[in-house]
Amino acid sequence: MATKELKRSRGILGSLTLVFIAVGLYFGLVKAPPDANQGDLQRIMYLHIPSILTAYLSFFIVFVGSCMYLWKREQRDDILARSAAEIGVVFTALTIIEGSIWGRPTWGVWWTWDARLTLTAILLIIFAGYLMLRSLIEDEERGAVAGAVLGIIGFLDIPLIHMSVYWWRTLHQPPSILRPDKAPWENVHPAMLTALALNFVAFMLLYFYLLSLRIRVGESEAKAQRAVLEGTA
Amino acid sequence: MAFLRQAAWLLWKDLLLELRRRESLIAMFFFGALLLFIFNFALDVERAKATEMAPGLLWLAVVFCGTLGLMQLFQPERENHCLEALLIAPVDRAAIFVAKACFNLLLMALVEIVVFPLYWVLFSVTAWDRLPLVFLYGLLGTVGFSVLGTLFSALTLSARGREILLPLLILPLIIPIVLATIRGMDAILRNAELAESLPWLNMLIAFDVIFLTAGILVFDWVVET
Amino acid sequence: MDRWGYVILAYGIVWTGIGLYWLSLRMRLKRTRAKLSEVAARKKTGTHA
Repeated sequence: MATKELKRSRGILGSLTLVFIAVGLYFGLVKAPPDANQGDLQRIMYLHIPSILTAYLSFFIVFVGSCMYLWKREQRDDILARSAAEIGVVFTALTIIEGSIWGRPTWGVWWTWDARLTLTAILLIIFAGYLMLRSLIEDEERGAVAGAVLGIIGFLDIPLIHMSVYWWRTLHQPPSILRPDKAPWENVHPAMLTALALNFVAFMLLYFYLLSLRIRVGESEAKAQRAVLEGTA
Repeated sequence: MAFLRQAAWLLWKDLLLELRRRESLIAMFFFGALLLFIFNFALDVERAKATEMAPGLLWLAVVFCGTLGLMQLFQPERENHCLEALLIAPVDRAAIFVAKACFNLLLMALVEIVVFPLYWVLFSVTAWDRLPLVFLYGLLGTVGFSVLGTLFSALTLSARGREILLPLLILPLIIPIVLATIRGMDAILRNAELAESLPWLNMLIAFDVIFLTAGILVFDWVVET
Repeated sequence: MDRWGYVILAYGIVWTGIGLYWLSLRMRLKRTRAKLSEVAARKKTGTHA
């Protein structure tokens, strides 16, 4: 049966995710050598880069889902967009927190108004607003359309924000610590690259596992709502 | 041509309503002036620093007053199913959007005409010759604010607690506009060279055009029933 | 706090956060499923609460 197969592939994805998380942790915390400048602190990078990339991917999926919804009007796409927005917010928030923990010992401050930090925070605020908008509109279809419009405008606004914030920051102060002059893969120990790649795979698997779980939640919530409406009608 | 005529008529309708009810404008004026007073207490704006702080404070006043206006923007349409009637009418949806945005822009511009010089008077700013240019930046920033604000004012019409939701959605999205406006005003007030202020002006105009285009494109979905 | 302290704090917060989010999703799924079956049962017996 199809549902049985689906269940099995979900189980496989889940266990694969767990395995990769364990491997990623081992490589990030044990196998990779400490950085020449930052020492063991640099191990936070194996968390930081995969989690922010996952968040970016998530907001891109919100954009795609929103466009698809406005085009085809299928609830499936709306559930996808809403699910991705929620997971994206979770990952962005975690990235900011862990980046802040990394920043404290390296720069001496928890937060600095660097272009990239500011941009990430704005991203979090915009998509937290998206979630709030969705929870405050009762009518399902109206909420979906409003969410789709915000999802599209919010995503397209990102380059504009990026441009203005970046320009402002580079006009007023020298390029920040976060902007490396060299490409990140130059002069990096191969074991570090392996650890980063493994953690990236682990986060991608985790992301799609969480996304499929969140979509299932959305689908059954929609089904429950429909059933209640039919019951009262 | 027909599009512009429709938009003009709709704008005229809103202006007439506002003239009769005077709901938004007076509140916005009062709020703007009040804010300048509060800034004085909160920040202890000294004469020496007043010019330097002008862009940020003026923009804050504009945004707060503007949000106040946006709450009321679709109020006439909400009563007696006027929005439905408007949507059934043989009018281009984009014309409705442009008219509403223009109406909000007009209200905010009127407030700015009073509040900006008031700041100059209250905090003894001497650079009167800079005021028109500062006003120009303010106006261009207000275009972007009105366009996005109108879009989201319509978008949140059916939401609970829209009074708090609306600023929450708009404020992060207009950050590009905020930055370009404030940095531009700042360059003007510092008597900086044209090469420093002009890029912000260009950027501001570009953002306005982008937001206006996006608004016109998506407004159809926002108000569908 | 030494360097490992910050590393452990960062890893701890991230994985606890993700774990809690995962648990909350599981619970939401369970709750809506329970609601669904309740509605279905009510429909079968034809009673309205």
